[in-house]
Amino acid sequence: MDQTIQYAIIAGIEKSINTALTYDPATQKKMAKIHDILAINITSPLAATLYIRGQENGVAIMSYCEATVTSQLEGPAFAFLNLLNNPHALTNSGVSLTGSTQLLQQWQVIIDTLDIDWDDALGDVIGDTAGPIASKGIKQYIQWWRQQAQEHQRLISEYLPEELRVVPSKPEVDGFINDISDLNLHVDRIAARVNRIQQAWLNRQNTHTP
Amino acid sequence: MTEKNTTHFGFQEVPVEEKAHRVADVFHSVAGKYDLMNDLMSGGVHRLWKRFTIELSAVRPGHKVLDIAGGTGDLAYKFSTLVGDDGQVILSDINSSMLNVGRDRLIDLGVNQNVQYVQLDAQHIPFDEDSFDCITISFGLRNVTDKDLALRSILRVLKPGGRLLVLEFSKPKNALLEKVYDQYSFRLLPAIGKLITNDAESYRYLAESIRMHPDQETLKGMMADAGFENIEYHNMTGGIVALHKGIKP
Repeated sequence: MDQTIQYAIIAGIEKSINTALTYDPATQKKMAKIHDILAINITSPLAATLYIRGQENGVAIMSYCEATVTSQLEGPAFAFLNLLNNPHALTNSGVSLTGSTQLLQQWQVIIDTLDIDWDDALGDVIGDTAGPIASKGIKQYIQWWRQQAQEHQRLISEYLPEELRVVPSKPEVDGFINDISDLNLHVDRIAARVNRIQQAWLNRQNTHTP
Repeated sequence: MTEKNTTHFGFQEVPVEEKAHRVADVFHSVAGKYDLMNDLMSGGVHRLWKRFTIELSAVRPGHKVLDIAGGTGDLAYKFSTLVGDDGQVILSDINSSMLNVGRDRLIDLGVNQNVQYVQLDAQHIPFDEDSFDCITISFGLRNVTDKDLALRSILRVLKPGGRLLVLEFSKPKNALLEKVYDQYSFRLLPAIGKLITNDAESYRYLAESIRMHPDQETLKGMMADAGFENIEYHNMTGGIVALHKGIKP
């Protein structure tokens, strides 16, 4: 990819984020205080490294940085997208962290407390009367969509084990896991006992050797 | 420069002492609509080229930066936010009209703490040795009469370890792109200039001066001859523009 296209994409993302942040001045102020560099190393589908730090009007995203990187996240693009949905689920997310965790925590807090005034933002685009109405409609739709998603997940999790019987139910899985855990403990005990017998046998042979 | 003491002004050969005046006339003519023309001519891409220049500058709080041929202050504005209250940015241009436009623009943007304005000739920079952490010259070097002299002058005022960044039009790396670019430069560009500033000649000079400017490797060699080290360049938009970086040893 020509570097110019890469700069255009990065500049577009940065501009969009910072425009949205003008409707959340408290977060903007918090970001301005973050001077340490967070590197995001995307490994696939296209390899790219982005460097992120706070600046006066929000966030600065750079494609080149000579300053010391405080923390680095590395992983495929889809793993980063998942992480955006749930910034606390780094473990088993496919994204690895090197460097300071403190900087990452600062960004997690900022994402958690993000409170963009969409009423105001929409009001600036379509007017003060229509803005809040449109914003309310969008919020209701998002809430309905989330409820539907949760409901579908619940129904599927009941339908597969109870009606189709293609997967075991949770108590069955728990019982199976407990059995494996017990078996594991028994095997460990037997292994320890065999080791002890072997050791005793070796000691006995050594004492009888002239 | 030739033995007859002439230099090029676009495709014309003119006496050395005349070039600066003729370049000055061009920029006096276009100063008022310089930003608008830049956006029109490049489709706004010049902002991306400058963005990368800022990233490569590695300017930090407390640094002292000289922006030569700074024009309307695009780079100086960004540098002023990076160097903070402890740093200093000098916005300079040889052309008073361009410098006035840049100064007015930065004042309108509320920048008055750490930026100073100096009208200067890049060939004879009026600062002490080892003064600056970073010097940039963006789309300005090709207009300088004696580029080697300017590079040596820049080297003198840079601090050891300081860096020079030269953002300038260069030679496209693809033959097809070069042909399209030629057609654009020599046919469309003067027409746009005529339409917006009622001055086709200035934009014809722009196209011609780009062709007369040294290509990537030649400029790299000139920087090495002037005394810079660790010289590298980055081609952008297929080599239409190149950003050269050199460090003062």
